[in-house]
Amino acid sequence: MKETNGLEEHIVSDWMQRLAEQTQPPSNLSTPSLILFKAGLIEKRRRAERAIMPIIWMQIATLTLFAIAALWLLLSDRSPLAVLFRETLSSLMSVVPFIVFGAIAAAMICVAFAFVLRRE
Amino acid sequence: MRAPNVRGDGTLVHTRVSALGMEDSTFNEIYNETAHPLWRYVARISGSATSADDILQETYLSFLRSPFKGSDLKEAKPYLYKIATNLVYKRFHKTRHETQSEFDEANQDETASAAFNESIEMSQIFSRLNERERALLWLAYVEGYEHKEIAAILNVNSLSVRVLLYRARRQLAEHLEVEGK
Repeated sequence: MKETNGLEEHIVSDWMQRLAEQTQPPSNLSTPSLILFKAGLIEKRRRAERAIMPIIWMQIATLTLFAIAALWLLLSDRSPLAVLFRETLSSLMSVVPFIVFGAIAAAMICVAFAFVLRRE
Repeated sequence: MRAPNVRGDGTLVHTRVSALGMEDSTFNEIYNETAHPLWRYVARISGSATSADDILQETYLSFLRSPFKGSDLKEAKPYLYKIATNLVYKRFHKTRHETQSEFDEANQDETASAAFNESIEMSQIFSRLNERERALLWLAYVEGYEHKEIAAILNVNSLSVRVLLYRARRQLAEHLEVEGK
């Protein structure tokens, strides 16, 4: 049994060596300088993306603050427009559960689609 | 970017350092030593000479991004094989049905000798094994890695490498027997 294994190993090893000899890389294989150049570009892009992240967060924060301030002003105001807005908002309160449920269902459908597309 | 380096005579020399923290000369050395064997490994385990080029580039790009910053070739080489194996597996699972025998088509223009015909047969036999079996056999019999090193590269238990290698060898021997080689 051991002898058979040894012979088999020898045959396979010999065959693998021949296969390796016949596997020659193309002459136009990428150069190290090209790889380094690409790596440099990717790193630069990554740094640029990292650098603009605080600006994006600041924009989001500013917009959120602005929206809150505008809402607060509108709710505390006594002008006809503010009254109309408040009434619209209070009438919408009855359908809030449906809106929330619809948003959750839409999000779940989107996630399921993304999952299926990713698998494919 | 430049980093100081001390010569044998004690004088300071400045070598170019890539944006990713590895000296260009170190990377060049590692690349020149490993690119060809790595390409052969990738081409054989993926079964595709064309995707081997892409995977090779991706491997070195991942290597440059990785925390590995040493200059020891002995450590770098298995690490590169590990990255390449993972990339091949990833691609293989994405395009499972497209991987077979592309290797032969890509090389068909280059040679038309008896040796090439033998190469086609050999490629066909080798492509009947699954990707892990191909990787195991290549690492053991072409690269000459120890079981422990193979386990680290293929991300398998070092104790099971012996069994997996035996099975892969058996599989290949059976295919060779069927083909009368």
